[in-house]
Amino acid sequence: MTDARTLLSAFKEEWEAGLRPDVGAFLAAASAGQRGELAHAIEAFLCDAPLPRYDGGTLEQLESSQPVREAKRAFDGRAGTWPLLLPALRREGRLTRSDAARRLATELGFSGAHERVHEHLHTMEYGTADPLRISRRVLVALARVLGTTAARLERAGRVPTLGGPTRGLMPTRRGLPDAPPFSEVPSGYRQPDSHRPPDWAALDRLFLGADG
Amino acid sequence: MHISLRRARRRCGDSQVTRSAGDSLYVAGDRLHRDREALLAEVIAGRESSDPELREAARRAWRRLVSLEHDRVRAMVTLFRFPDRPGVRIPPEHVDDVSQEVFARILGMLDGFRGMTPQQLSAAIATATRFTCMDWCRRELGRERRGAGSLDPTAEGSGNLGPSEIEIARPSSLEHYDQLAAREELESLATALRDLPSDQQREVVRLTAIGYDSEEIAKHLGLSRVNVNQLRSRALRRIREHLDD
Repeated sequence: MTDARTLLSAFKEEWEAGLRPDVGAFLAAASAGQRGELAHAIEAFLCDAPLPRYDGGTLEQLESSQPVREAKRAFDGRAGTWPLLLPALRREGRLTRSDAARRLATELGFSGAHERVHEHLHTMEYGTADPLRISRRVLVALARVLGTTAARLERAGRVPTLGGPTRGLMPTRRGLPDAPPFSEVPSGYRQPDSHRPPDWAALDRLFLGADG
Repeated sequence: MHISLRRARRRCGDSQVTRSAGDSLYVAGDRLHRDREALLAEVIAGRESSDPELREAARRAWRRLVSLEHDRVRAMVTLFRFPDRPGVRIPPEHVDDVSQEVFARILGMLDGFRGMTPQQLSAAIATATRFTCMDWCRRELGRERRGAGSLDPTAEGSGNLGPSEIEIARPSSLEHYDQLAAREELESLATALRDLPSDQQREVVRLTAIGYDSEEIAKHLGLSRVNVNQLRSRALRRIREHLDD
């Protein structure tokens, strides 16, 4: 067993050189009696440690890692910190997105429409959903599924980012959003049958229209 | 205090803040990264600006900031021990997700970071990490209490309690934990009240809380006493369910 002081020096050296030392491995190398002392010493060092001198390859690897990608998605998107928070909470509960969508659909009383819920959950996790249009009912149900509170989800969705949160209707090139002119209607477009709305129309209102 | 990109450039030294063609990073000599202070200033300035150049710079700075802080946050999450309860920690399989929650918290706190010195910024990130870890432990305790879905094995000789629950349940003055718990409890209660399905239920709960009995509430709302009792018991059941969740 190496003593705590030597291990701390080695940790600092590796840290500053950008070698990404593994805290767990360093603690494991210490004797049981010195582990606590080493943990405190490393923690104290980290609180004000210099930035590691990562080389280009390491930085590239870090920038393409999942947490950084999800952080970037959150900053670019308009759904606050949902792209960071929702997948993390979901994984902590050991739920795939499909599992979470199924449970959320059941909580909302649309157990048959879990695929549609999956699509909405996807937009929330990717930061493309508009948090101001998502109903409280969805937030309460999602909080139950993810083991958190609706208030926390609501706060997270309202964190300002590059893309939002949007405040009301956004003017477009032609003014406020409107039906597209006929020249822009894509071929194959069919007017929805208002007498037979699709099953998920009511569900969509919960995610897109602040219904309920 | 508003820190502009221009000012950030001055702080860092113009020579270090040159755009290199073909690389989204700001590279200066042998330095592949820049000071956190300057990166943070760019993130804040760009987020508040409509200038596409500043917004793009903010996007890059944020990605760089998270990359540079990732290992520090992850290591601190690994080392976290609940105050006065060294047995309560973040299990290795959850370290990455908790670290990610820390970055969500940091993004939500950006306005508060404005104008911080590097030391203050480090301290703020360390505090955000500690609080996120404490929140996680508290949620874990909730999961253990619900029984199903507990991630930890049941501790020996402890009935149905999990290890985190036993550790946290020991009598002690866990000030930070208590403050956080109380805050979340209040938020949860406010949400539960707001989510009651009818104004009448809300009103019955409110009047009960300030000391009216069923008879008085019935008179006040023009309802029968039986009605008031029904509304109250339904409301309380919903609130209880919400808090249990």
